[in-house]
Amino acid sequence: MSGATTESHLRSPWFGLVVLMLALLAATFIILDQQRERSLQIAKDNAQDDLRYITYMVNAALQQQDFEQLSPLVSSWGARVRYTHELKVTAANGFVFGHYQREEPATRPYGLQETINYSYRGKASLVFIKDLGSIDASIDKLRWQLVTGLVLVGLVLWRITWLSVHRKREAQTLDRTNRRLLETADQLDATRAYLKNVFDSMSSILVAVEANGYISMWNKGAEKKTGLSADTVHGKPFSEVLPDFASLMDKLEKAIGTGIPARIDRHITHPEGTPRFFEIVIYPLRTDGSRGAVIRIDDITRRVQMDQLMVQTEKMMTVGGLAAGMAHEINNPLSGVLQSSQNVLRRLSPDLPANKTTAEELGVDIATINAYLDRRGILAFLNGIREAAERASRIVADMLAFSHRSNAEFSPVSINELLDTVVRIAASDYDLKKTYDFKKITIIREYDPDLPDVACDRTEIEQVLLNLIKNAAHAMADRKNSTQQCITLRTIDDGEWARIEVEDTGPGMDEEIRRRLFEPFFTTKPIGVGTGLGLSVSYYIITEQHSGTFSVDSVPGEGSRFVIRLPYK
Amino acid sequence: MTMRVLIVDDEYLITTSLQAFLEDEGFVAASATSAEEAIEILKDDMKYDVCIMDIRLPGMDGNSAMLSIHEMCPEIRFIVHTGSVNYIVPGDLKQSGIRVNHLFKKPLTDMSLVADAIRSFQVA
Repeated sequence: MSGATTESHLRSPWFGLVVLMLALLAATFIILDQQRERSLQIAKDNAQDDLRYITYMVNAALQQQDFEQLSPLVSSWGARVRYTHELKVTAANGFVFGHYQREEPATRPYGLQETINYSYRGKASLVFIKDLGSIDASIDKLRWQLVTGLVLVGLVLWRITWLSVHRKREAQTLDRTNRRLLETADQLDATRAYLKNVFDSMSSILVAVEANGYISMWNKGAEKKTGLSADTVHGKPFSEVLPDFASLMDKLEKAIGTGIPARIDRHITHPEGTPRFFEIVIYPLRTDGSRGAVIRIDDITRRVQMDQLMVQTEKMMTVGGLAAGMAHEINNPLSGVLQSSQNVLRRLSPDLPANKTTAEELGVDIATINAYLDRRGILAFLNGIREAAERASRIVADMLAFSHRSNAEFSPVSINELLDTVVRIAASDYDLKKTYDFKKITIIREYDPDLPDVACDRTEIEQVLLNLIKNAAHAMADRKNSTQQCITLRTIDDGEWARIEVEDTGPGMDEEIRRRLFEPFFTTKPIGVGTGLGLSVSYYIITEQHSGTFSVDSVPGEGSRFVIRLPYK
Repeated sequence: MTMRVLIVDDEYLITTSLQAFLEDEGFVAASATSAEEAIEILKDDMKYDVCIMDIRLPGMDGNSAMLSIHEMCPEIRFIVHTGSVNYIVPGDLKQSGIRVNHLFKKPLTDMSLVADAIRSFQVA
């Protein structure tokens, strides 16, 4: 709305008022002038009448020869008759019978003259002059009164107009302001809706809090992830609504104080025992007026799990690579030990003719040498060296087989043999880790001797079974007072399936643990001992890669039984 | 007629112990700690029946050594004795007519298996 239009709107009443006043003034002047003329005419007519009357009276006095009386009569008439300026009665010979004259000069003289024949030859002249100036004066006075009155009326009208115009302008201004306010309000609403939309569209948990930690905004993401609606949490302390994140309050305070965003790369919570990972950023609000912050919380559990899985895989690949390289290096000296000890034992034996011949050449009896070696336990030591080297070679071979992550096609594998290999690896695992005493565990083998070979990836199944046996050993190690630590390995030909059972006499598990056992990263072991990956990877290997089944039965206090079924195909 | 065996391995203890065992078994055995040394030995005396070859060797590797030796003495039989887990006889060796009749993985817990293998050549 432009200013020019506003002024033209406002000018018209002023303009009207001024025109009206001028018109009134002009009319007043015209009317007053007419009035003056009329008054003057009336005054002149009156003057004629007065003259006739005075003439009559003078005539009467002269008729009666009452000359002395005339002078005071003229004076009193002059004084009595309105507007009289001069009244003079003069005889023909110049004798003045009477004379009245005002002292002040006449402003508008109106003169009349009459000759009076009062007797034979007796003549007198009468001069009668009226001053009509007072009419002017009264008219002027009236004029000024009217002008003053008009001015007053004008002022009043101006004031009234001013007030009304002002009020109108105020109303207009108000109206405009209102309209503007309404527009602004609309814009604000739109902006707020847009902001809320932005806020809500983010899948992260976004919470705006005031400086005191009370929640002022709560987006849809937060509603969805926490199950708490914005209405219920609004105005409540953040630390109360999300107690798992109460530890943020210090950082929040610091961020608001310094104005520098705070970031927590990995915040860990343990709802229901499973760790969940969150990335949190606290953005302090920059507005001068309101102090507070926006907290963004992202659940990065999956990402962290993937990272851990990658790390685990990488670790295993590294271990695998190391094992392969190490095996080759160890195998050469092992060959030396094994082959040499075999030669030593053989060349000490009385059965080899060359031994006997050489002994005789040197004047000793091979039997005596053997008796000596036997009595001093040397042969036992030599056999010990040999057996130890053989065991070492088996450990290396097993490690190689285990670390060798082949993408190999499935090949027929004897499960019974595989179980024995796994037991051997588990036993050597003790030697390496010393976390539990595998020797104290009785391994009961209930193999089906006629179990057909199963087409599978040997190393994968080995890994699964090794993991089960180690878990069983670990579970029983926790239960020191247990009289009998026992793992039963069972194979059953179950129609189209080969059924493998690994049963322990450990503490078993309750329904809650049993239900979550195959979840990735679920572990009952202390931090650092288990990754929580073993069983989930095993589950994947059995069910996905081998189209088998993997389940667990458990009676708390009596033990657990893991059952794997692999199809023969 | 006694079988003559040439053992090639860069590990001294392996060659000497294997040589001693095979001599005890009645074979004539010689040893070399590199492929180059083995070829030198064969240049002087080609009358070896069997060569026990390691694959990972300093300088010329076992596979190349077998090719060279095969050219020199086409009648010689090979036994591979290696620490590599996934050793497979390369295709070009097979094309050249080299037959690896026996493959032993290190470590050998019983050397009589090698002796049996050598003897099987004699029978054939």
